[in-house]
Amino acid sequence: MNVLSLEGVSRRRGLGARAVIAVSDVSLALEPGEVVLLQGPSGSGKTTLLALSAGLLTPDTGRVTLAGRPLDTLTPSARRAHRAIAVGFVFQRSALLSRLTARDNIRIMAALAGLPPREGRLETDRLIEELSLERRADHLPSELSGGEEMRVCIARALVHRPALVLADEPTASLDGALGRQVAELLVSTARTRGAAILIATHDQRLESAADRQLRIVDGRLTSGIE
Amino acid sequence: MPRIGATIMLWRSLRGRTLRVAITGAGITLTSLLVLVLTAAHRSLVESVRDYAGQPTIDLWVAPEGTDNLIRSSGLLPSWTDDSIMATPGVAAVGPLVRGFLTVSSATNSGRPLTLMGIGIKPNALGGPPTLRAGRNPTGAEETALDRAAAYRLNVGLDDTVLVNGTPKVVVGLTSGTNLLATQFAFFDLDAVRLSLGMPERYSFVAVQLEPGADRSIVIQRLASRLHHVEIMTRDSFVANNVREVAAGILPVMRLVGLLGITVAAVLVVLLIQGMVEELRGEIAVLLAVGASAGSLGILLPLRAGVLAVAGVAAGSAAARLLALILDRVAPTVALSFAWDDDLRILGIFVAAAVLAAAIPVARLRRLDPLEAFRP
Repeated sequence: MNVLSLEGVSRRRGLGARAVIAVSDVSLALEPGEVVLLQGPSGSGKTTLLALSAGLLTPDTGRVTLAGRPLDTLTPSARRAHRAIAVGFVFQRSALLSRLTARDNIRIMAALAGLPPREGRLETDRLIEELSLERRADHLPSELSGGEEMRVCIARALVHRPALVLADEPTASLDGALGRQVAELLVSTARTRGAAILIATHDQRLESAADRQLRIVDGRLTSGIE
Repeated sequence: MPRIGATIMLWRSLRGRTLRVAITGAGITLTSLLVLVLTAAHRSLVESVRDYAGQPTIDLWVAPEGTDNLIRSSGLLPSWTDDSIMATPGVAAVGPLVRGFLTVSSATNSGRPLTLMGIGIKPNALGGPPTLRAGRNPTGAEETALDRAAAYRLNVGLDDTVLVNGTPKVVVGLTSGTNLLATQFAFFDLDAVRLSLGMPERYSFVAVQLEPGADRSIVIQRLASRLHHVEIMTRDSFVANNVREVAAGILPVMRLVGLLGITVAAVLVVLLIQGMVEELRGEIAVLLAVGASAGSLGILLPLRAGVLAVAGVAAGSAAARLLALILDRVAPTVALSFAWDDDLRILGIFVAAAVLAAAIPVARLRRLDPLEAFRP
């Protein structure tokens, strides 16, 4: 069963005469554990495609099925709850909660996904260890380096064992070696947990880590089409 | 349980900056202190009126026609009124009183005069001070018992001498429950006050005590048939009239100032929550994107405002009581009387104002697009 499936998905952005097609007739599918790179220039529709995949946007036409559930059949509240369980996010900026420690930034995702507290704590500790964050776990985000912040983001994206991780330009704010290291960490950690990853990026350094590459231009997939 | 865990963590993540929260909390404390002190001052005033007019030994008050309270009255009763009342079956005792404003000064107060509400009483008769804090009631023309706040203002104590309308009198008693804030009670010998006010053959009121078991309504009927052009009031109705009279002066101002105080507190809360929403906008977008519900965030922010209001009013309540203790020692003129139901009512108003105020920025939060989480 596919983790994510988009069938003929289109989505406009804006209203009336100013509306533009952000995503046009896109079909794609991700299998469990698969790492797919979504490449394209700025404004090509990468982020919109991620948002559609997570149910943050609803398609004008077509259907999105996430972890076995067609999103168009779910109420907004059920879609939100399903997203919390099935999707992990890595955003372009660190996007950590500034008032919480690194550990709590990870745990909050486990709690939002409905993991029992003990399980959430264990999984958090496991990821902290796996991502070598032990000495920084009880620090606030403002006290972490850029690389440490991204590692916390990776842990947050994976703590609830989602079926799918959506990463939006995860290496954009990191320099060369660090960017590659973080990307490799994301891919390896997600793979060990069986999560599929859809990475929207400009960064060609990530190509080697991907199972498949898709290219999107003006909202259309131009290569790697299913 | 997981939901509770998520809520607790969301609650912790939605903290405002410490300094901003502290400033808002201090603002709520000060505004609630203002409202609490005003309420306590009003309560003290009402209690003073109740203490005097509602003395349990007095069952009925007889006043000139058209006069229904002690505070503002101008009519007078003829001097035979007390004898006529005393001769009425069912009446056990009477206390004729004269009430008038008198100028009182003392040498230790640099001669600055105070205008006090002078009450002329007969020795050991009804209508004397409700509570003597020290000393005794006046028994002669040269004696007075002053409210202790008046004594403080005049800088006098027991056995000191004050000038009452130019006549020296010795302070023989200090009373409490007799402070009307704007003025205080001073008790004198009945004939001396009548002389000072130039109305030797008149009374202002007559306090009446009934015989045990006497039917009040029957005694009122008897008094009404004997006396003409008078008002005969039960203790409760006389107290109610006096409370109405003192409240008429202070309540509108108190309500206005209280409303302004609550408005200031609400504005502070709006500023705090709006600041939090603006400051945490990106983080809130992330929370919404990863699966937190806008509803729970929309509840937690007003809840934060409510908790802050509770903390602020609790601090205000403690500060008000501390202030009352200090005032009682250093400036008893401002008497404050607290009641927990006042505190609870004010707490409820502040919490409601804070929660409603928080609803304004929260309404804007609902328009926040989770896709903002994707913006660099």
